Amino acid sequence: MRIHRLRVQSFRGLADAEVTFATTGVTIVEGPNEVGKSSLAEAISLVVDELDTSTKERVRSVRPVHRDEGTEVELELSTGDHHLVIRKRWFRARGIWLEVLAPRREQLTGREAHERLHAILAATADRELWEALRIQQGAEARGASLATRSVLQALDAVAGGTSPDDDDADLWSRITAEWATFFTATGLPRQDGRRLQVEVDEHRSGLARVDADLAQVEAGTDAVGELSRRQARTASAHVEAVARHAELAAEWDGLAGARGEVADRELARTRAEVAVADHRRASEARSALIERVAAASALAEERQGDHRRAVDAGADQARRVVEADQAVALALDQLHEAEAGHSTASAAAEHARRSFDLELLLERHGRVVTNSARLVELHAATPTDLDDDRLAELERLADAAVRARAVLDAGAGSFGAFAIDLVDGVDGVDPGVLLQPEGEPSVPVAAGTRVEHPLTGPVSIVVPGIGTVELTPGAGARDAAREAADAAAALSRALAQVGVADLAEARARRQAGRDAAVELATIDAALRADLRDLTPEVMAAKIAALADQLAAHRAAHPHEVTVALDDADAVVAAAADAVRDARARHAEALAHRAGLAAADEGRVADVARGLAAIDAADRAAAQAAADLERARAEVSDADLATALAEAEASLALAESAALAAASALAAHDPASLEARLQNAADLVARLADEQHEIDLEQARLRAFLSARGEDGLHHQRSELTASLARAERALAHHDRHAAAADLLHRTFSARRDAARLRYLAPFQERICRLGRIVYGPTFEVELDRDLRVRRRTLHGRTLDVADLSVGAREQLDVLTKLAGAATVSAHGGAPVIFDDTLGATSADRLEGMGAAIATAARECQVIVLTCTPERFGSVGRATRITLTPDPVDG
Amino acid sequence: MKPGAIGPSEGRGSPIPVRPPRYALGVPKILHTADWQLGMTRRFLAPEAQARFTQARIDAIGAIGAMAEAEGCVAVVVGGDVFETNQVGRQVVVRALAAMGSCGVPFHLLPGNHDPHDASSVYSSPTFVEHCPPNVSVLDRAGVHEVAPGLELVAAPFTSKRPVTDLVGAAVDLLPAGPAPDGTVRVVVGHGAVDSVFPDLDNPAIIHGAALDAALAERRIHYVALGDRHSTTTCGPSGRVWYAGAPEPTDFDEVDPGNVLVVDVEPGGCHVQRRPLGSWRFAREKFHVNGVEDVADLDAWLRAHPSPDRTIVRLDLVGAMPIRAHARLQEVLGYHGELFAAIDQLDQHTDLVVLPDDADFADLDLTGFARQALDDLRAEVGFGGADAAVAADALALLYRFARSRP
Repeated sequence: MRIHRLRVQSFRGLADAEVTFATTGVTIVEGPNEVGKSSLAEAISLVVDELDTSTKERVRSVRPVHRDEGTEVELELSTGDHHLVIRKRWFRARGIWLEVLAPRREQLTGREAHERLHAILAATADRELWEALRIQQGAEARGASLATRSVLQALDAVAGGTSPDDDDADLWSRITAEWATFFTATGLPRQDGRRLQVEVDEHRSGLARVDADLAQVEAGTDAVGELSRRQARTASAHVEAVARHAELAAEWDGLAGARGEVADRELARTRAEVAVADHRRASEARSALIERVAAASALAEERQGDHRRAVDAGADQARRVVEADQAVALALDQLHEAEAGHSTASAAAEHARRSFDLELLLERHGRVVTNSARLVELHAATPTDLDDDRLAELERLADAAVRARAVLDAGAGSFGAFAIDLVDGVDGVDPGVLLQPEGEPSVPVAAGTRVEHPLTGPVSIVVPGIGTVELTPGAGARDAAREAADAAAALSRALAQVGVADLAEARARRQAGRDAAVELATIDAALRADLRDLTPEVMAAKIAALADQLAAHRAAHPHEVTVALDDADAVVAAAADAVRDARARHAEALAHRAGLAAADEGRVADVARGLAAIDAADRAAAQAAADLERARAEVSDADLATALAEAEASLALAESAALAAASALAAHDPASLEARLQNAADLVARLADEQHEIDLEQARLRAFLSARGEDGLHHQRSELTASLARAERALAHHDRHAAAADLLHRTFSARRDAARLRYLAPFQERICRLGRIVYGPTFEVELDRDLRVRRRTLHGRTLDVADLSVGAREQLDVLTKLAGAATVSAHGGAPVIFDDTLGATSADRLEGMGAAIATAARECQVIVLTCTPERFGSVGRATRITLTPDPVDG
Repeated sequence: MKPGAIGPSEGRGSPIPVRPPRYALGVPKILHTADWQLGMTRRFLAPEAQARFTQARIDAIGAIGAMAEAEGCVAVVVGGDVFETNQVGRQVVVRALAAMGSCGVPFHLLPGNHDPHDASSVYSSPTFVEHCPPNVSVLDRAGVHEVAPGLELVAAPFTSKRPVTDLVGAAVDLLPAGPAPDGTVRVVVGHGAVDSVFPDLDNPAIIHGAALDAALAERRIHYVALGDRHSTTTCGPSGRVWYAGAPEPTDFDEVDPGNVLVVDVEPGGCHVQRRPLGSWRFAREKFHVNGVEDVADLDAWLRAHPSPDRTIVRLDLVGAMPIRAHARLQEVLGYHGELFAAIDQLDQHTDLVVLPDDADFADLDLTGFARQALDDLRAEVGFGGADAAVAADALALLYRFARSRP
């Protein structure tokens, strides 16, 4: 596409402007900002895109402000083999006019004209490229992708292939969309496939469950059938068992006579056995009775002997007891003697101890009396009203008085009065000068003498007959005098309170007090040590009591030898040992006596028991003899023996008869018959039990089957089978479709990428050639699949486009568009329109950019709209057009 | 049983009036049917079609009852397999019983191999027992059931799925020797294969046709009403041994399903009339499809079916076809798939290969990388193997996208 000419009327600030462009090379349209050069780019867009009836904002915005006229744009262009003029007018006298000049003339108006224009453009131009090749003022430098149909076709032609067209792009997007319905962007299967698989799995497991239930029902049904057959077999066996039992019972009944004979003989034998046993017991009892009589007699004899031996032993025992009693009495006497000796020794020792105690008490009491007297003296002599605190207070007051006096003496003035001996006394009155301090006695100043007087208060100097001089001290002197007086008075009061004349006396009195206190404490301690827990009075009483006790003891024991306290304890200890020995001997004698007494008691008891035993043995022997006598009276010993022999003979006969009967029965094997009969009875019972168990099991199974029969398992299975089949078909269909979509996508993607790579190289080379004009031979670029510059290399340093400066990005964008336009120029292409670009480009790059633009423009149409034409001053070959502002709207 | 009495002891609830038997003055007439297989489902039916298929079987009961009444039949005799299994859904049982209960004719149901009278029998289920109407009885005991004066049904019910003896023969053996008494006709009701038609030496339960023929010749019995075979079939030379066939077809391999038999049972000879009743059709056809012309033939064949909504079609498609023909085939099948109850294709019977040819993509004007991708996929198909099928699918997809480009 080439733009030949553009005329605008009443378009924004332009009243009427017409620009004729160079169809190849650069056309620079220059003019100040307000002149509306950008309107030209807008007018080209409007006249192509918008209907005359459009009410869009972009149309309404171009209406001039101060003119009530229609806005008109006329554009002459060539595209493909068409050369045409399109004119559109908006707002007033609207209309669209198209005049096709070639390849054959056409004239159309209105919407038809608009649609024809678009049909021609669609057939001959690349609208995408047309949009991409315009750089709008202030737009982001990184513009639209140049991967448009015509660019790709051109690049593919250069690369030696056949490029896809718009339809193929649409095809690719449909393939991609189809693939995306099955796979995520990362190539993972989407949820649908997994959901279908889960559905299939669920149906399969559901079917397996129902199949298991059905198998259970079938097994239950078979089991009931088997049970029914078993029941029939069991019933039949039961009938047979009952019959066999009846048969054996009849046989058993047939042996009743033989069994009765055996039983009778056995009974007779048993009875004979009982009779023999009875007779044997009677004989044994008789023998036992005889033995009893003999034993009782022997025992009575033995008891008599025992008694005699016991009586003999008792005489010796009595003698030993008497001897023991004598030994006990002797030991007791010795003990009493020892105890008396111990008592005497103890009394003498006690007396010695008390004498010693008395001596000690008397000593302590003497010291107590002396110290108590001294204590009274000391208490009387110790002043109590002058302690350390009081003395310190006196010291402080004295110090204050001295300091106040010193202040007074230092601060108050003084004066001297000197009386001159000029005047004689009048009327016997000493005419001398008289000092009269206020509140104090007057001080006469003898004539010819000088008196110095401090001026601490008002003082009148009376010179009799002449006059009075009144001296008044200053306020400071008066205050000092008052303070000195107060301090002296306070000291005097304090001294008076403690009854001393001065501080020295107070100090002497305080020292005397301290000394007395020390002595007092010493005496008090000695006194306490002597008194311990006593009072002097109690101590005196104790002394008196002790003296009385000693006196009484001496009176009671006039012959007692007084022993020393130290010896007394040894004497007492020896006496105590003697007592302990005597007591031990006495205890030993007592024990011996007690042992003898116990033995004697036992002996006496044995004698008594021996007598009782003799008596009992005699009675038992008599009883046994009586019993034997009585028994023999009833049955004699000979009769008993005869009866026993007869009974034993009867038993032998009964035993042989029983044996014979048993042998006769054994010939019929009744044990085996009985075992068979019992077995038959057991079999009948067992079969009856089995029948019952089968009935129960059948009932249980039938209940189960009845319940399961209501579940409609077959229906469930059918539905599940159908659902599973549907789900499996859906899954298979889904998988097959997904596989096809994936393969299609992969195949297309691989081929598309390969084609893109082929396209990139020539386009990249074209940008590099233009770029090297600007940047030099080290310039390289790397493109992405959309033919955008991704990285730029300069002087061996490679940077992402995003990291470049605004100016560099702007330059790359211009170069890319120029390369794009140049690439497609042979097939028509589209003009590159720069609206005030290169604003961020430095002056040293502008020259190179001008050269690059001029170079590219040899192959394509470049239109530059600018208000700073000097930016493009370096473009060598260019058509320059200057727009002037409209006189009204400009 | 006296005339006008209601069904045997299984009947519950209030008796409903039953039309006086016309045969009292003439020949007893019965309606012989079998193999209802109520509750049957077909895996190739969508839920909606399955529901109609199921309902058609219930509706057939009403039609059978109406036909029996119209023909003056004294009884409807069902020769086994009334239910698809003993574990059918409660709904099926209730609806079937309700349908029979609404008819003015007795129904006598024989347990067959699908619904044997075993421990889990549907006939002893609480649902059946509770809802069984008075005019329905179950021939659950082998031997004679006098269902009307002069009409004895000699039943040979299945008591297990796999009997080990000829049940029909055993039931006939229970009859007294010699011809039936005068004025009594005996109809044997049985289920299973007859050896003269389905010889099977390994089947211990096979029915011995010769014994039946002998009994018929002897006039111990007069008609044998059989079930098991779903196609209406007669057995033996007597013309008195019949399979009624299923009243509604159940599968593709049935020769003559969808009938019931109206039988005039005469001691000297029976008059058997076949009456079509079924409303559904199963159709199976093999097609060689190698191009759009063959697809058109298939389309025409499908269009020729009168009631596609009650027709289940199974197609065995064989051939190698270009993508455009395959696309057309899919369109045709998609269209008819909406019309027909089901169009089924079994993988093992479908041998359809899609072979893209130059003409497929000639008009699509693919250029550049799209053309190259197309060539890649075609080469993949050409290599054969597992990936070839995927590549063919991918080509079909491409064909669809490319053809519908704006």
